Amino acid sequence: MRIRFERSGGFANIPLRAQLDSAEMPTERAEKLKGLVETVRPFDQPAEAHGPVAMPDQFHYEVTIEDAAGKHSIRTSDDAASDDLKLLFDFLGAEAVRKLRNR
Amino acid sequence: MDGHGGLILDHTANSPGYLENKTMCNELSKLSRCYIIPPIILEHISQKGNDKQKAMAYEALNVSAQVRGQREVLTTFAALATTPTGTKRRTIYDAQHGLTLPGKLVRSEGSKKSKDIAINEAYDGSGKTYDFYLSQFQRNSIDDRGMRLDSTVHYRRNFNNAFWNGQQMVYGDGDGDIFEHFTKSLDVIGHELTHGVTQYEAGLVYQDQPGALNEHFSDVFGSLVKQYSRKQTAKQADWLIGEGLFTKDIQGIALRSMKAPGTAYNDPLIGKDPQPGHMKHYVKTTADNGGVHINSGIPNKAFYELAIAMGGNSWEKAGRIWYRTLCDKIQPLTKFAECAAMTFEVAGTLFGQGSTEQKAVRAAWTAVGVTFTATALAAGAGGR
Repeated sequence: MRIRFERSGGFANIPLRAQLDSAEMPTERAEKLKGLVETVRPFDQPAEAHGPVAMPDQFHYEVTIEDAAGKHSIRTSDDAASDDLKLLFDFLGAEAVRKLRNR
Repeated sequence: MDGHGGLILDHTANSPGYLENKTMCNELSKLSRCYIIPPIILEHISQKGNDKQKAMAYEALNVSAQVRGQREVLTTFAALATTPTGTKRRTIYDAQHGLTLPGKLVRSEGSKKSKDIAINEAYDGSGKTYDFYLSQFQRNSIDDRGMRLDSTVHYRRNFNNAFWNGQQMVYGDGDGDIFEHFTKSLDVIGHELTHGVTQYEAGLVYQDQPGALNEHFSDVFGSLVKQYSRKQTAKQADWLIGEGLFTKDIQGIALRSMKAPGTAYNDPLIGKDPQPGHMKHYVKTTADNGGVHINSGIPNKAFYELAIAMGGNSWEKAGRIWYRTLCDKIQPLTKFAECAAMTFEVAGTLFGQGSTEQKAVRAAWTAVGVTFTATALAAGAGGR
């Protein structure tokens, strides 16, 4: 599974971008990612989800997930995303920092 | 219509507002009281929202709390309880790294110190912010009606953020790689609490220039809370936002510098501070709600220039002008030039037309490339 993760905004507004691939992750983290994605069912998520009014200092996300089933992008923010999506984003954010550190 | 141009919705009364917004009122029929919603939001919801989104709008806006912030209709709600001025009520919650807000109650007003540093920082920081607003501007909490100050710490895991969600302050612990925990810096707490003040007083829309002004007022009063707490003059102050939040692995002193926008950090992992300090470098972008955390550098620099020109404590003159402008003048869609004209007008009211202070306000905005005439003010007042 390949994932393009992009996070922007927030109090700090330091953009975070990374291309992730579960095949490059150690088994334990790849399994964790698989579990999070199965819970979220990203292919059933709307491509765009935003709150009715923009709230201050929220993280914004743009995530594209690609696997054997196809490819799907989600654009949303912390004031609109479900808890399951937030858990996935937090995992991907940590993976993105890890990848950028080790490049 | 109220003083902010908001519409009073009352589905029980036969007011003009009711007739104009009958559809909205029907949507709101489960609500039994009058509510005030800024027209921009009304418009947005009525045009784009489905029933669920409309319900969410009310949730997100904490409408009943907004009503309390609208001085124009307070007489209508004389029965509403108000905490007497000077009564500080702080409540700290622990999300225990989960997503549920507010989380577990861990410290309330007057209770003893916790062993947890983030809990104590949130408690002390919100107290210092409350004390600053009360002593300098006679403001009784976020809504000026004694609202309880709720904060949640330990929100999510590795969460590199802090925010005001319309009702309370929320702080992450940072990932320990780029960021330390977010209560570490007093100006962050002042910044987040000020988003609440702005919500009640001005309702600045969080997009483009109005959004950058929303960020700007939070940085200004966040910094002033810190300066007041440290008893520093404008010259002594560091004018940094989020100093100490970066781990030692990051090459940066803070997240933003009001004194020198664009110089706070420059690091191989996270890049360079993107803030401009002059209109000629204004950043046009769709990211970050149209660069609200980027272009705020321009008014931030103007405020710094003004505080330095006036000398002494920044909160006494420059801070007073900005506070009165936020409370009395700023509208949801105010832009930089209009805001500048408003501060000029307020300086004239507070210190006299043609006073040294008023001239200093114009000079400070001019220094960052924001120019204005009297017509800018008229346009700003009527242009919504």
